[in-house]
Amino acid sequence: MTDNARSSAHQLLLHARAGQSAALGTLLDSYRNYLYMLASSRIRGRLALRASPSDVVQETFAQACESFPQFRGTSEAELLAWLRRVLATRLARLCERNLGAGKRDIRREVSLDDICASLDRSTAHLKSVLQAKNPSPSSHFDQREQAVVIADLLASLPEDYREVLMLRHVEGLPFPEVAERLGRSHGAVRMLWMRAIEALRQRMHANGLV
Amino acid sequence: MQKPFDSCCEPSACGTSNTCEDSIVAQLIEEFLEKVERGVPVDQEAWLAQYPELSGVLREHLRGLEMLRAFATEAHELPSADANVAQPYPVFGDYEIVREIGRGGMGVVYEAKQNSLGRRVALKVLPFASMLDRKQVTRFSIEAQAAAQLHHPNIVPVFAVGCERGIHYYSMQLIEGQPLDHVIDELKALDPPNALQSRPKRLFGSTSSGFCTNQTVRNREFLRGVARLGVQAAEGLQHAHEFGIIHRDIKPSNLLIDRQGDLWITDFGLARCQKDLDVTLTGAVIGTVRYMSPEQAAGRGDHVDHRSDIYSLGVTLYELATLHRVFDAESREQYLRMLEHDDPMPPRRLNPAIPADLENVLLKALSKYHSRRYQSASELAEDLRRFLSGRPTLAKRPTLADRASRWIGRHRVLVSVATLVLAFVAILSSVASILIARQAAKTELALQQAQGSLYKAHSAVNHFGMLAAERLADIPQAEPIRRELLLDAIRFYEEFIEEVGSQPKLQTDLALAHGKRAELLEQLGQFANAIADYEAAIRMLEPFATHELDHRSKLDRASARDHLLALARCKNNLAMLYAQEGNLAKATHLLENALTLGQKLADGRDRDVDAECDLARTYGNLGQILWESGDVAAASSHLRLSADLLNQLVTRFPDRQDLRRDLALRCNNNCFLLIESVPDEAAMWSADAISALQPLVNSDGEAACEADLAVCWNNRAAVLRVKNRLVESSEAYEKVVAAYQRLCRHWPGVVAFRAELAAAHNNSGRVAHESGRIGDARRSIQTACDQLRELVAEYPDNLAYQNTLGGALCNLATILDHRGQQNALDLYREAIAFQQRALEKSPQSASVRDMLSRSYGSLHRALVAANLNHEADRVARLQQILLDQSR
Repeated sequence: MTDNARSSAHQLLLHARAGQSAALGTLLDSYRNYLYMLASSRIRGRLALRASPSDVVQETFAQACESFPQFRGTSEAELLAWLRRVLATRLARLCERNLGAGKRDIRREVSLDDICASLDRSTAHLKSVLQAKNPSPSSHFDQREQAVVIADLLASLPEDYREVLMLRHVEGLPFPEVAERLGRSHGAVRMLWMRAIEALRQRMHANGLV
Repeated sequence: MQKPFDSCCEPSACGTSNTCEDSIVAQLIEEFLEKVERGVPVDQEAWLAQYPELSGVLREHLRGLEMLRAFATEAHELPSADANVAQPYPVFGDYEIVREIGRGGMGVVYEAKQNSLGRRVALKVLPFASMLDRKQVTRFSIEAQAAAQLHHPNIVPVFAVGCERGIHYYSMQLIEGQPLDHVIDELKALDPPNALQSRPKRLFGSTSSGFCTNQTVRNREFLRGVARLGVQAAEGLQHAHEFGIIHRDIKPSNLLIDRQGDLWITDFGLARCQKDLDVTLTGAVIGTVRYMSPEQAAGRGDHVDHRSDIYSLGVTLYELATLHRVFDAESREQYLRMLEHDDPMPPRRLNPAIPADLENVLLKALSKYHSRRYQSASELAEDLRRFLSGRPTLAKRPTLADRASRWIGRHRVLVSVATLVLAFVAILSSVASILIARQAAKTELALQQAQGSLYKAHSAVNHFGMLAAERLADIPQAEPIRRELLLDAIRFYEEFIEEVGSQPKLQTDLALAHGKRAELLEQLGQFANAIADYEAAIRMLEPFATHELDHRSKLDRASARDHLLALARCKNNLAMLYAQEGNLAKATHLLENALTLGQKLADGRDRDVDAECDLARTYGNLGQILWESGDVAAASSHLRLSADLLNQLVTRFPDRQDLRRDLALRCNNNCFLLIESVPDEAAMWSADAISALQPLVNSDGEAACEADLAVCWNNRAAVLRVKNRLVESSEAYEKVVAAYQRLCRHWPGVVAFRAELAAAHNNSGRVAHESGRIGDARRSIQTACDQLRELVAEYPDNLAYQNTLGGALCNLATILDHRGQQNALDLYREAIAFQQRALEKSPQSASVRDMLSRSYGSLHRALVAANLNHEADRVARLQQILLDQSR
């Protein structure tokens, strides 16, 4: 996201907080790629065949719209953290639905209010780091927003590039395992990865990110 | 904004770049990644420098990887939705993750099974957002090593430290229970902050931690539990501190309570090994501000030592005992301000069940200055144990001592030497008279006799107790004796109050005793107690305020006057205590009240000196308060009324030297108050002060008066300097120097005289410099520096001497600098060194900060003039930092 986009995101957030649902819609939509990427990296195994990340993102949006009045943050970073928590509850529900209610985890019982409260605490902490005398150039706060940028970039890549980058770097699998997942040879996966990182680099170039 | 992607993909190849180069780049990146994933710290810049021709492209790739990593971090914090029930979490090296236990700023903690040893462990995973940050990796490995060497029953043992696919982790003993922040949250839920009454409730189910079931925070047993946890935490900390390891992040979430109710400190994740300062000392603020000591929150990294942990533990225990935060602020800025300047709300006000001793322990741990905290964690543990076993704690009310020392700093009483022997005799005789009172109280006649001797005893105790207090106040060596005298006198009144408290006939005596004890407590700096006593006395005496003074019998008139006089005096003194707390409105009101009473007394049939003296003092005090409120005109007229009244008294009673001294002090203080706003009036007052005092010095040459006179001359010199009458100012300073030289000769033991002499030399030099007599200026200031150097060497702990020496050195440097002499630079540097040391010891002091800042400025100018630009920049930066801090 460019500086313009970021400042307009901030504007949208202000409007959304003032109760304009159109603004909220536009704002949430701008995080679609980000949430999709996060969701797709967390839906695994047999579930991946039954549930699609798009459905989870859609549910996340629905719940976010409903609970938005409870959101008390004012910055994009706070909004992202909040959206991640909503996504987390959706992912947890997905598991419960599919695996039956055999094991209930107490963590999933927390109300959204609690989530917001703990969120406020953690973001307050982030701010305190930022306002310190020598903020490190790559502070945590920046990276949160970088994550949205990279999600948008990944979304713009061809699917096989995206897949190899996600498996190698987001899920952190070594090449042999990536090869196994993709059903290709080790050499082919390495070649695919090589092209993928180069394509990513060029996208970053084109977007003025390096 | 981009649209969600779907199938509209580009062709999967990039034909534009050189494939051969691509593959080299890819290989290099793979190697880089492999290193990072093994946990080898990689210096990114050094690595790039090895491939100069490719470094541009490589750098861009690394940036992309960094962003992917940031994304991955967020992804890993989400729960995974995985259908494979047998293994919902990934296997992580030797560890099979069972469930997430908690998460914090420094990572996620899982319960895990260690397959090789078949044991259950807690696995802390640190998802470093920037795995490319070599410093962070190095820091982590140092900290983990440090934590692993600690073995103590109250510290969670670290089993192993490792790195798996670029993710760093360490495994610890699994503690069954819950962190203290959960305990506090549960207590809060049961005991809402505004609940006035709370019934005992069940706290936790049987499966949670073993700490305090079936309790509320308003319960003594609960508070003993808090103290026991405090002992355990302090002992754990002591062990770590002995290894040179400071935790730096003590807070409720890092203290685990197991099912037996024992406490375990965990997460030495931010702890740093003191031996490796270079790696971690970045000045950046880390940790949770809410539990940080003031020095830690202010980013004064070099001031952070083990006593910072003691503060953080204090905050934690305070929260547990009161369920309130120590400071509740809206913003971080406000919080930092409160942390720096405000005293914590006494815990007993938040939870009255807290015993006073426990409150004192908490407040001592929470002292702003680490020198006033417990000096070691074991001292804290020991004091908590004293509390638990019912022995008196070492901690006393720290805020009162703090306030007392600040107050003494502001109101420097003139130095004198007391006649100690006399005072001791007086105390002994008065204590004896209590015994008479006890015996005599049995018959009416005996009572009257006893009252007679009691009055005598009162006046003796009061006279000598207060005399000792005033005269000894500024002599450091006499402080223990002074305290003892005051305590003796207080004890006298205490016994008296206890003795007569229930006898209706002695109620007015009781009121007077409260008033006297209040005066003594005030001298001891126990202001809160003094206020309480004054208020008690005023309550009991108030009915007399409306009594007429025209009784027929002289005896009745006298006792009515005594009551009124005491009431007026109590109001006057109480007003000054409120003024000291900053409550000027209340002070003004009380003083006006006291004035009304005083005027009534002065108009009565039997005028007496004491009443008029008190009235003059009240006028003066009101003038001072009005001045502090900014009403200079009203202040000036009250100050004048006060001096006029004293002047009349001196004329009426020419033999009363004490009146003359009071007048001189009044005039001198008027001069001091008006020196900035109305220098003409101030100059007049200073002349009056000197002429009032001069005859006393000539007659008996008593040290007290000579010291007073020196102060008067000093103020005279200062006011003349403000009025730019430099020649006269210079002459006045010569007199000050001569006076202190005499005093130093006669009283070599009184250090304060030596410091004043040096200051006089310095001031004299400044005026000489302003008059253009550079040679004289240099000689005077050189003398001041020499004398101050001796003082600093003899009393290395006295920061005032260091600070003054810094100032004098800076003055000397300025003079030499103007003459273009080379050693000016060295003097500036030396001055700064002393001032820095002074600031270190007293980081709150605005005047020390201000002087240091000015020295930086002077050195900077001199360095620029000498073309030493590099050092000049450094000095400018230091000055800037100082300015930023003071803002």
